[in-house]
Amino acid sequence: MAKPFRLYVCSDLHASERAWRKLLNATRANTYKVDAVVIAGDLTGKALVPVVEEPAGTFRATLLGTRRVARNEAELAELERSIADVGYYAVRVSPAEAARMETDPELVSRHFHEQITRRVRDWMTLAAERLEGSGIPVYLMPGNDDDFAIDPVLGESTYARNVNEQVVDLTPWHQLVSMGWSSPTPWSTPRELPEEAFLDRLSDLMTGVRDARKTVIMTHVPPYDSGLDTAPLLSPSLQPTVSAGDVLRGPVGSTGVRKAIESFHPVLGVHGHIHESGGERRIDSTLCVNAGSEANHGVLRGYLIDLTADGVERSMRVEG
Amino acid sequence: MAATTEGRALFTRQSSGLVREVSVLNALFFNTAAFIGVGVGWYPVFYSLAFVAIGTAGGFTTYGIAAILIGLACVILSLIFASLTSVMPRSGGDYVFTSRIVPRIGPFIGWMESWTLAFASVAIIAFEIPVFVRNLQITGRIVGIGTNSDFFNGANTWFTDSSGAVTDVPGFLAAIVVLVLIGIVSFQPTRRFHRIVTVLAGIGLAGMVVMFVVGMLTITPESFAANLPTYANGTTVDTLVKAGQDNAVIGNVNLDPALFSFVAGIVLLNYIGFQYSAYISGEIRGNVRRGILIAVLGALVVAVFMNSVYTDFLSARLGVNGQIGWGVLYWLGSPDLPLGQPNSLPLTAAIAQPGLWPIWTFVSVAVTLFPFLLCPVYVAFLSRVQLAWSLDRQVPEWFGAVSERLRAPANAILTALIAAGVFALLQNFPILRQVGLGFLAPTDGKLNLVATLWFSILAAALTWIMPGVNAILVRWTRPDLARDAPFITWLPLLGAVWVVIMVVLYWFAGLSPIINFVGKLEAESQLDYLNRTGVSFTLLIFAAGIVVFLIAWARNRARGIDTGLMYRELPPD
Repeated sequence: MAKPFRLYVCSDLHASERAWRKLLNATRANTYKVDAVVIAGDLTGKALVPVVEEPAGTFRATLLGTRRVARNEAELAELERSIADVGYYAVRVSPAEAARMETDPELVSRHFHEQITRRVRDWMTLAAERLEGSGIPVYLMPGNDDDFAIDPVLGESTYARNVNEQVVDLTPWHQLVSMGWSSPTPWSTPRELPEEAFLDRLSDLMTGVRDARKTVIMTHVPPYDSGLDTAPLLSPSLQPTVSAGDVLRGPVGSTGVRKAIESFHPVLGVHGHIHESGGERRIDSTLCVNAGSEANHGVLRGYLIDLTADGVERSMRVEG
Repeated sequence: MAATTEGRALFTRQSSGLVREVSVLNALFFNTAAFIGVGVGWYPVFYSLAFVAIGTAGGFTTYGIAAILIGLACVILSLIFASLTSVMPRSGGDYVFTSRIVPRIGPFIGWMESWTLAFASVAIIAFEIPVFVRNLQITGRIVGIGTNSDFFNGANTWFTDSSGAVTDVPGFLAAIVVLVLIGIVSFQPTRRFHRIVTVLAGIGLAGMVVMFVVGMLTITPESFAANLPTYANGTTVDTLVKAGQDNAVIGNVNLDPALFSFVAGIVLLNYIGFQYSAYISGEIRGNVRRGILIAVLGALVVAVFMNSVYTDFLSARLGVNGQIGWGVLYWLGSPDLPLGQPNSLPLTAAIAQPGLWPIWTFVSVAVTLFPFLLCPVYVAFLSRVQLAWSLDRQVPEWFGAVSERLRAPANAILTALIAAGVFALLQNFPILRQVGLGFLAPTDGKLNLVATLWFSILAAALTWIMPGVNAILVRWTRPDLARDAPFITWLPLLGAVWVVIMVVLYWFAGLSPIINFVGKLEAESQLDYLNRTGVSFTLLIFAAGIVVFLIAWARNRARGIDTGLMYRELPPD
């Protein structure tokens, strides 16, 4: 019997430097004895911390409610690393620019754009440095939160491969079909499609595979009402809907993904998107996993999936 | 680096957001409901549970002083939890911390810590069930005092056998009814569950406020002493005091660790639960550190207030020594127990001021609600621990499967209920004797409440000690997580101080008495002593935990699952 092909799957790293470096180190040291790494989208961060240079030459910033001052280059590097570790972007600014950012959304947007592309570029460079020669391929794709600006950067990557909206050979027996778009969210994020269009694109991809039942389907958004998509229900003002002192929860996944899984019966579904709803569920014969995400706390969450010609031999949640 | 800044500290972009669900207020209520139990009425009953001398100094009893001192110590525990949960904010609490922080043997220690805590908690649920039933009787007696109704005056016969004890078929049937009610609440969808918990906790706390305010304004030692013989078949306060003196439970305040630790141990038992929001920290929204600190410290303040000011000041209005003596009679199971009931505050208040019986009835209903409320809250907390076990393959995966309807681990909830039902069976029928394990439950083959409580205290040892150990170790064993933890510089010191406090306490109140057979009856063998006090049962649960761990390890190994990978630290640099 052939040795199982082991996948490491994770998602929603959201610019956490610590989580990314953990992933690379675990892969380079082959801690989990994997044959391939799959990252199901949302690489970029959501928040930017101004690190304000003061006249005395010191820098100040507030991180997670703690005010910090860096008095020299070493302390500044440490501060910026702490900011990056939780998935935020540090941007050095003067007091005047910091004040301008409060009233100029364009300026903030420019900083975001610059920082997001720089972080992804740095990550791809680091991945090539650390993993070249390891023989462990890294397949990734953008998620709904990832701006299109990162696509060219991912395209230049020499090691990690952007497989969004592609069909690639993954294991000796299985192909990988990837779809980074999500169904509509209340936030109107960069990569969203109506459910019908989403299903059409996914179905088009599935028609290109050798054997649908020997396919791993990677969609950033989990299937609807799968238990991997439970999240607080939001009001039009994006606030959690509260009733009797409790937050209402419900399924927020994609009906298109669910229909695709029920129609094509892929061997494995790899998902992300809903950080707090990690776990594994079966939809018919398909094992669906959402590793969840605690990347912003520096914890790398993932799943190890052992695949054989017959299907999923075992699955195991890991964290580090 | 040090600190100062002004202006906007964070800019966010349009993106989907992680939203956690439990508010700080929810967490505070969760903690409060988890520790109060019978406390609104019964804290004075606990004066005498340790059977060491209780004195009074500066308006506080030895028990009240222990409550304040242990409360101050528990601030350390709160800081440790706030720090650890802010870098590991997930459901499972201590189990997750220990399994990830303690090198190599962490998963085993974490398992044993949470396994024994689970059984300690189930034992507490089992303790609360007959107490809930007992409180229904007490409420009936209060109505009887007020209305002189024969039905209510005969409330002591509700749910009791011919000896007047809540046991055998009536006791078990009552326990089943209560368990079914707990099950109904526990199996509600999350929103309705929290609504029920919030409403019940609100009524319970309102009862506490009413008891304190009206009690302090209207009760006097003289009114209680004058009316007691009328309602207690001639029993006087002097009789109660004599019972306390005869058993050497009335004396002076003594802070000698060899004696004081017993009282402190009882306080810890009554505090257990104030920190349980740390077990659901994965569900708390906003700033986790701040949320946990507010919820844990807030619940701790309530716990300290209720075990010191509330209990001691109200007891002073009734006469502290009489309350100590009444408790002695209850714990000894004396036939001379006034009204056949423990000295629950609303009952003693009804004796002192019978005209206010509707108010005391309301308070007694509140006293009745809290033990009931504790049970589904415990079930919810236990289910989160079991979910964490399941995710780590310490138990089969189906065990932690999340119900689509409940959005909660239904199998785990059901298991906790069944375990409580088994305890109820063992408390009500001499099953242990019939299956050849009667040695675990002398003299009648049934688990008794005192043994259950000692079992809970002993079984919870690891859960009190390990947070300190984790605080000491985390900086070195998980630097990747601890680097940005709040109070990280102080964490090893906080952990060391907490470990010393707990080890001293458990040595004097747990191990030393066992080794020296403190309280052993003359005609009792050493083994019977260990059995009667719940020590043997505790050891049995520890052994069972080891067996289950080994089975799970072997099962995972046979399936090719290397659980060691689950906890492995990944260095970021």
